[in-house]
Amino acid sequence: MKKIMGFVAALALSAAIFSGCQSSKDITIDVNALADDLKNSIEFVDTLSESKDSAFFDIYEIDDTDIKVKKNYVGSATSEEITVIEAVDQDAAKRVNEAVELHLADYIDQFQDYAPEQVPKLQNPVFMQKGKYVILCVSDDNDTAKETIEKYTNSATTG
Amino acid sequence: MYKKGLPDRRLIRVRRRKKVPVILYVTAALIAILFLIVLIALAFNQDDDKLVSSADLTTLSASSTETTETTTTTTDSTATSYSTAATSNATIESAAVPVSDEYFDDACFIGDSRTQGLMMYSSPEKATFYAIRGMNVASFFNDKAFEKKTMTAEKMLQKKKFGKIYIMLGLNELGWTQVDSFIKRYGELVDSVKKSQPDAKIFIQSILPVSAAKSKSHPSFNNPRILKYNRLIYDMCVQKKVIYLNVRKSVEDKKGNLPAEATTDGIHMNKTYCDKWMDYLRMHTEVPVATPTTKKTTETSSTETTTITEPSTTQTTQATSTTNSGTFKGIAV
Repeated sequence: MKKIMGFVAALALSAAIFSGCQSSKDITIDVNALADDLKNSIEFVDTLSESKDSAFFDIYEIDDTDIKVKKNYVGSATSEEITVIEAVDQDAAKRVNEAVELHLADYIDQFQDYAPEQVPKLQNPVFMQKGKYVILCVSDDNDTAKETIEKYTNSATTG
Repeated sequence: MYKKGLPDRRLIRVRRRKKVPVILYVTAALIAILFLIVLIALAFNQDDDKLVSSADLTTLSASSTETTETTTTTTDSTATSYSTAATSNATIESAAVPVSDEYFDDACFIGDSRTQGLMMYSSPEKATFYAIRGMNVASFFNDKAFEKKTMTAEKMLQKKKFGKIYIMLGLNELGWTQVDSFIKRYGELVDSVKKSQPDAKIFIQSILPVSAAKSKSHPSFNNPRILKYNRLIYDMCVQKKVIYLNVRKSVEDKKGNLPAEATTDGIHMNKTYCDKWMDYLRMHTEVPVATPTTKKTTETSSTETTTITEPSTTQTTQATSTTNSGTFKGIAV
């Protein structure tokens, strides 16, 4: 009896521990809310507006079948931008991540000659993948960007 | 039954009823007619207003194009204000209904970062854009900026046929010391486009203005210089028999500057103003090719010399016919 009770207690304890854990794979983020929150909480130098879909896929060279939801705010005068993407699955998220890396490299190349003061922002953006979410924020205020993102990634519910 | 001496109340009631309806009906009819007249008059007025505001009708005629440029020079800066009486009598602007996105399905836009802005914020869904930051009339030929950095804009145009080509270049060349070189190269670019796109309608867009603050502070990115370049571009359009589209009218204020509210850096426009530019393109699709004009201007060569400040040689390199040079370092356009 004692052994059975002990086994059950161990099981219950394990269940309690694992239920408190959040796998990043199961994270759920409101893409639009996060993008809007970043836009409103950071003081950007530029005026950011949402890009057209055709422009987004042209600039990023992402297959649109890899994306479930996206929000992209860009500036016209600087390299500042906000990109939040929910990919269809983990594999798609990896491809999206690579595309964003290429995009950053391309922009560094473009701005190197024509607006070198923009390059540090591009070299040190807030850029992360959380499960099937890819988040990019290019601004002068990485601290605020990270705090804002953490509100969504830490409080995200398991999917 | 009624008593003697007294009128029949029934008759009285009937007589009273007979008078009132007629007057009422007549009054109601008059009011209705007046109301209809007012409605019709209002409707006609609105139509007139729409026609006037949605299309700047200028007639192609022997009348001159008047551009008045006055300059005042202060000890600290040169301030230039100019007004255009009639911008160009080569741009007959249609009063048509704006075209829809589908019109631009076979359109290709070529340009620099401003055209990139148009692409990002305001582009029709299926239009094609070969626009890259820093593009100029030389890099069109030799900068492999497209298809994962394997193709130039010139080569891209050889791959696919378009029905309309919209080009805006010249801002990055404002710092070139040899303006003739810019126009010569622009002409070569137009020849190349005509060759690769023989059936396409080619629209050469005027250079958009910069803000007043930028114009006052920069030796090359200023509106008098843009005006000079636009005149040269216009002449090139006449020579090449292509359309000159005066898109600057869609965004400039009364003094010919880009409004401060349109931009954060004096050069690149926000979404609202990119939308205005796109709306202009939607409204001006049936524009004839540029034709020679009889210019009547008040500016003189001496005035022009004093107002247009040439950039220092430390900032620019001399443009050659084959190399991409003459761009300012540190300027992202």
